[in-house]
Amino acid sequence: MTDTRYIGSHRARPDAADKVTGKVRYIHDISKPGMLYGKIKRSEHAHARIVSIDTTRAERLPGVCAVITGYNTPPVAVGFLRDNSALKRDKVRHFRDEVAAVAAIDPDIAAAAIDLIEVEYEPLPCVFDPLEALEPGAPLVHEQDARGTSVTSNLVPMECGHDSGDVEAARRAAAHIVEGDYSVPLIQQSCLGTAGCIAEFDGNDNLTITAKTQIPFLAQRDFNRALGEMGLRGRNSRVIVPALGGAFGSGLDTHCYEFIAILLAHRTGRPVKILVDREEEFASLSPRQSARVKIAQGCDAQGRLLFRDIEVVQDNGAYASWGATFPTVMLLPVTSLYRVPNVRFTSCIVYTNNTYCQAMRGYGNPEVTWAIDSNLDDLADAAGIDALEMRRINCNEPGEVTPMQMKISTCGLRECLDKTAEHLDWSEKRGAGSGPGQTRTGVGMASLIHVGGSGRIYRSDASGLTVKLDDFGNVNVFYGGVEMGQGLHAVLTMAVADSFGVLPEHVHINQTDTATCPWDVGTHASRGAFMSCNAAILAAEKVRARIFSACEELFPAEIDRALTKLRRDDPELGVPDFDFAAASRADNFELRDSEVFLRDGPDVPWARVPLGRILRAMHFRRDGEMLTESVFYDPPSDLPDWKKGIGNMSACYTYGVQGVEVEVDEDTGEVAIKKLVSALDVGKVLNPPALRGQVYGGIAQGIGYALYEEVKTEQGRILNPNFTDYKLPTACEMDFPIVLEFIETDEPVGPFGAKGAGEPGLVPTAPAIANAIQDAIGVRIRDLPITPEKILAALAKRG
Amino acid sequence: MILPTFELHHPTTITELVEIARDLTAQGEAFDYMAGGTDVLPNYKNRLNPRPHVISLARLAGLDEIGVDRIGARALVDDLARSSVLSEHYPGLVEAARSVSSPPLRNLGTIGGNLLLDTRCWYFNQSEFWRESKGYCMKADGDVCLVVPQKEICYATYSGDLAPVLLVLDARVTLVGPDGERTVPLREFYAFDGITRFLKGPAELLTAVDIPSSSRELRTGYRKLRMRDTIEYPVAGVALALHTDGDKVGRLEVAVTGTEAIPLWYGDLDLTGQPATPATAEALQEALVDRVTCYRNVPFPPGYRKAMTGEYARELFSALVG
Repeated sequence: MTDTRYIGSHRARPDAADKVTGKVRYIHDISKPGMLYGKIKRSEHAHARIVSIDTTRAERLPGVCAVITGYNTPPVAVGFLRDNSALKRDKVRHFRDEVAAVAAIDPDIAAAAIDLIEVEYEPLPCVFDPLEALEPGAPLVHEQDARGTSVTSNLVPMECGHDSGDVEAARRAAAHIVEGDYSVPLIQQSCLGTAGCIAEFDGNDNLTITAKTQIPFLAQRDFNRALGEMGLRGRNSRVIVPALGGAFGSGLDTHCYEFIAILLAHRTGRPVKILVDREEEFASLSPRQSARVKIAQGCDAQGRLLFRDIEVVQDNGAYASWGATFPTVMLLPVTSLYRVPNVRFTSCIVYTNNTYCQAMRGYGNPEVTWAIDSNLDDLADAAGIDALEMRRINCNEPGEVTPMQMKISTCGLRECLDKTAEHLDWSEKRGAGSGPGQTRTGVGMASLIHVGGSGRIYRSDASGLTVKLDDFGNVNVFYGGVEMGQGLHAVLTMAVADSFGVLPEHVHINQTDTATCPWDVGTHASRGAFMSCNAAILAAEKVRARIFSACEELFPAEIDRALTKLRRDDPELGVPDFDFAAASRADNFELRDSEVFLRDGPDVPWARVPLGRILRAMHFRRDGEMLTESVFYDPPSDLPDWKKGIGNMSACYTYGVQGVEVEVDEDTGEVAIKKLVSALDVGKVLNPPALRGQVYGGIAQGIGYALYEEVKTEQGRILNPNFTDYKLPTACEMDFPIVLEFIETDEPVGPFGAKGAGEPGLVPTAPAIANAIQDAIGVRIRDLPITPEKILAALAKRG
Repeated sequence: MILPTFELHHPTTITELVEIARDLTAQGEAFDYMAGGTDVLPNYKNRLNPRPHVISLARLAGLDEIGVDRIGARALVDDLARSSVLSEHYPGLVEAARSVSSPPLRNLGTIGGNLLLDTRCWYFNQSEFWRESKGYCMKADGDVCLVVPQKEICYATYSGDLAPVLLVLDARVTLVGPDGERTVPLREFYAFDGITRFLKGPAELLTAVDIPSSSRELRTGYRKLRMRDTIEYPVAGVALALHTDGDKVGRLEVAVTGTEAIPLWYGDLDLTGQPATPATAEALQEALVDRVTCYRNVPFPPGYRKAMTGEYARELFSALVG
């Protein structure tokens, strides 16, 4: 690797110009010749038997090319437990269930045709509360599992827990114990770019699907399996990822609408596009699930944590998607946020007739960090210890091995705590109390741990990367991860420029396409920069070795040619006495800013050969070669045993702290944030503007989670499926100073020392705000979002 | 979402507009007037009572003046928010205008449109698919109220910001239609339920808002409950107008929005002669909370919204006493 000249610097994102000028093509902007528009008929009941579906009127509507149901198409199973199907037969289990679909020549006709499909239902008893769903006699959402075996409960068959040390003994030994019941609501990823796809088949029945996804290769596997179920075993699907207007986890699974587009495209022989509108995005794609967290933590008289005992109940909704695996990431903070020797974690995920849930930024982490860090403040109070001091006493340290057997290499938590306290004026303001009039001010903080070196939740946690250098010195990069607005291409461009030694303008990151890019498990777990940059470094080593090896023969000739040309123009040219042929050893070359030169060569412009010239010389010679290299980076981590909750799931871990100063109006219950501090141990700042953007965005989502956002439902039906009634924070709600501190701990396995930082921004925001509110007015809110009426109710109870 | 088909009429004068309205009425064709379209068009997209004809006010001249006595119905909400005349005499009206939605919508929306804003409800402001699936409510395509099923009127919530301030200022509205022109006190204009909402005939156009000179003695204020500081309807809003006589209440006017199907002026809250003190502010708070009713069909629970109308009235009273 060369010295870093771009990593850490401020550079515009390569996708910025297209985005600000409107040239970027999102799925909405793409069309294909002969393309049809698909539309889905969804259930009008939360739980009902399908008695009959009459599609005859829809079929007769001019412009309709196909009407499909579960009864006239092959069954296509969906989801990792195979408990869902693209089009439902026999029974619907929630409002979003797909019962029929049409393809038509325009979207209006498709919508009109949907209205002409008549479905007769026989309503069934419903269950919407996960605790009620666990009671004996509760209506069963699924009577059978995917294999057809009868089931007797609504428990999703997923086991994830942890039990280390002796929690009961520690409980008996504890000087102080605080328990609490916490809850978090259903929330939406709220991507500004709604979802959609275009599916088309070639004459050989191979599928190309342009899809909004974060997991092109796992999607390819799912789609290939669907092709098999459609009688097209052995045919291939090619997944192309268009520009994405945000994903936040919503693209981590394949969705029924994609399989329906595939079925319609195959039925009609034409490309079929399905776009998901905002209401469908709320009601029919998978949000972040609600959860209840029961926690107890205890410490000794000195404030040292002795145990942590956590039970989580998650509302899974009607089918299993990745939301059902949130406990695997909950294990991170449960076992390893602060040093705690005895830990017990149980989780249960329950089928209900609510919308089914899947991934969202942080993946289970914010849900339990909400309980852990809120409860820790109460424990500190009980022990009579300042909340900051409590965190210092129990601070994680480098070199630690946590109860989950996570190996903590670098850990900047202590510095994050100190920086946050300093910026918040903690010693002055904590417990200081009153603001103007009926307002009270308070400060609070909360910490986070998250995977920093990807997260191994699949057999392979690797990322492939291919580079193709051309005659002009360009480095074309083919990477299977997904740019979804987070700045992946910006950071990868800089990493390639620095690791190869080329100018960033010569680096071109190509569209993610399973046909051209090597395999990647997906862009999730804050892994994009960590994985792609590590892969780039590996590729650079290979490419540079080949260039330098070729240069042993080519470089002296190139120097001679350059000198000959220069002497023609200037016969008096002074030439240092230097033997280029003798110095041209592979290990003596350097490549920087797209120029090859000798480390000990004379420092004159003509002794630097443009990379393009070397590449052309390699190409246009006897037995010429083009420079293409592929690498496959698999991080040093272990696939945990989820039942035991043991395993070093990431190559390294990111720590951070957020601190908040709030002003609470005791008459109205309104909370105003006056200042927010985020200190994050990122190992190394790779791309300052992109990193800041990630953290600012995370904080905005964290504030939404803490104070505003909640998908409201009534008997399984979403009441606020739009941005008027679903309250995302706006610029007005972000109108306060945000101080960002990045701690650089130089992680040995991180590219350039960096750790992942995509998700942490939103993890500790809610408990930090709740702790500040507690400091201001002495009441503890345990249910998100913290709305003014909850504060007033708590104040009334406080008296 | 795609707009339904309708025929768009573009009169350039009031006379022409009245002619079109008369003709359509005679033909039995339903229509809506549209100024900024910020309320009408989103509802049309959701298939909430779309009409086959829309008469646009876009090409009319005038009707947009802003004066201390008269405000044209086409005056933009944003122009109200920036008006120095209004700021000097009726700061409460300016505060209310500033709190309407967001800058882009304030630049399109008019005072007339805001006064005539359609009522809102969880069960009404939803897509066609949603409403069909739940079962239509009486306000669009159905015959029951899904908020208070046993009642025969609509409980959708009135959500305009300007009406309560104009109610405390005792404004009058001018209506022009095929049967001529008439002026109605705003305090008698809103009536009935969440569907009929006001006394305006379907063919009548609201052209102007007049504020009596007697209201100039009043100090005004407005405060609304909303979750965020922008793009929000009031889910409880209070307007107060106060004239003090020495250290006593000379005249006090109170109106509320965002609670029931129409904005309400509380003419029976007589605190005249009471000392302008915190105790009177608390009495006002208590009296208002006693009178306000809210329903569970917009964000925030009814109890909190009720409590906040009282709280805001108390705060406004204290602020206006100064």
